[in-house]
Amino acid sequence: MQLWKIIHSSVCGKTHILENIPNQDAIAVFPKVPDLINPPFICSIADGHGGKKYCFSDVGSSFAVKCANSVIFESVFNGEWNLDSINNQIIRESIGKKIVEEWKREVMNHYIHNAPYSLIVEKQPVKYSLPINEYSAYKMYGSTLISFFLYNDFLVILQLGDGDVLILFDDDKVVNPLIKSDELIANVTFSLSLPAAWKNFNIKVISLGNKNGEYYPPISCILVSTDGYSNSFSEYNGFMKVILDIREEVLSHPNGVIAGIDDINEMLPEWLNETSSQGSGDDISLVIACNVNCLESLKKIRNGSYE
Amino acid sequence: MTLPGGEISSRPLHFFWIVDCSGSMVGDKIQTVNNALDETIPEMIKIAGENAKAHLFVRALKFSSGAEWVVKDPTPVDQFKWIPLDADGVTDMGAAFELLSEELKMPPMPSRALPPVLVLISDGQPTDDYKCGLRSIFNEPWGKKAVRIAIAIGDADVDTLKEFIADPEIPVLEARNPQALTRFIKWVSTAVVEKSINPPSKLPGEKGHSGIQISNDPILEKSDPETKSSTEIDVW
Repeated sequence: MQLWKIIHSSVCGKTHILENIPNQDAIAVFPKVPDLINPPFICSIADGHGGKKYCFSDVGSSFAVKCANSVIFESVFNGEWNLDSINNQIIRESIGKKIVEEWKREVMNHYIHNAPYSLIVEKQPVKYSLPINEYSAYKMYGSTLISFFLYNDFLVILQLGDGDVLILFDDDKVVNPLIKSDELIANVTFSLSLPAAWKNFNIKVISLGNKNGEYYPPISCILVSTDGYSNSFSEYNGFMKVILDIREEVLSHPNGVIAGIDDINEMLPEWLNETSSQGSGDDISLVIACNVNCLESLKKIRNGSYE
Repeated sequence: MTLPGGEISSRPLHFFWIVDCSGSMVGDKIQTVNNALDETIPEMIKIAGENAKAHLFVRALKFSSGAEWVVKDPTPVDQFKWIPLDADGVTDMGAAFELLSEELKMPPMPSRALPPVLVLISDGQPTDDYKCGLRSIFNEPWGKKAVRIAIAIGDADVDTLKEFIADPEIPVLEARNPQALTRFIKWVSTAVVEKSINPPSKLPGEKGHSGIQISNDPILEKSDPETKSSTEIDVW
């Protein structure tokens, strides 16, 4: 069984700090252990839309990651899934749809109990005061979502809206496995708050090892981030280089791979703050899952070749 | 501290002036455009300096008998110089749209850019197939998402300019005298740029192509002849 270590950080963007607006992103990792873990595990990251129309999107993003991890846990880890026989459509309908339903249930519950008339008036123009139609309420909590989970021999990624996923394979190849629509530019994004939002989930299943004629080399690292990170780089290739640079830091650490990952974990908040400040100005959230066995093997090969 | 990854920079905001230089612009119309565009550069530099979130790049395109780039390369606003334009010829607006659409393709436009701002200034009616040019713009993702503003001088063909804007919430700015024209050009260079630097997230299918909300700006109300200053008289 492979050992993984997951590190993450989320920072408030310069623009939000200046406007005294809280970080709109959220992250949730299951299981919540800081040390090495064996799969299965689940990581979710969400980006609340921010802005006046989405006045509770920080709450919406925290619901998004919570609901995603809970649904995936219940449906897959605790259920009777056989990932050998599933496809994107089945995942979209059985996981994506449930996540959206759970999220809407949480949002409506919060809206009814925590966003009474007075609070809404305080936070928003009168046009948002009660009574309000269902979708106007969801919109206030609007958020994107990216979840990925490693289960048995499969990596499954679900994305709704913007944000980025990078996979670094053992052979140094960096891949963004999800194709971005040309329509999702200019801050246009899919959202959990849209009607039939689950239909917009972009899904990728990667079988680890040789399955069904498809072969992927071992995965070194998986990086998932909100769009504030990739938007901070002059070129997308510059963003893709992040995962290579981080692996290089880990591999070159004198005290070993795990110490290298721990060092990166300590530096992440400072890195992300500086990147946001020089770049997009937006909130940035980042999760990196490191395959410790794979990285240690690579380090051994390198050390052997250096000697 | 060395940050992982490649070069970091704020997001680019591409701003395009598209200026009618047909024969009917001769005289104080083109003179006012030249003066206002020249005077507004320091204000654009100031706005860009106050918003480190974006790098503002300016370009300029003119059209009369045919169309031609005045400044083709994306030029950082602090290096942008206005080159005074002369007026002569017909109104080949469609040719300008075709040239513009080439620059809105991805690439050369990066996907991480902010919605570009396209400002069309015209006093006449197109003399070529402007609809074909418009289609070319709207066929590009950045053409559809751009913030499109139009300033009509005098008796310009307002319906054509509305087609260019393609957003019922953004009216054509109708300038019937030099003061109004100057005011609109300065507003576009400052207020619109500032709002474009800070666009909100937008969901597919929401009203307004760019997500930039300028429909409630006071200057738009002043474009209405009934609300303009009493000191301003129609001369065009």
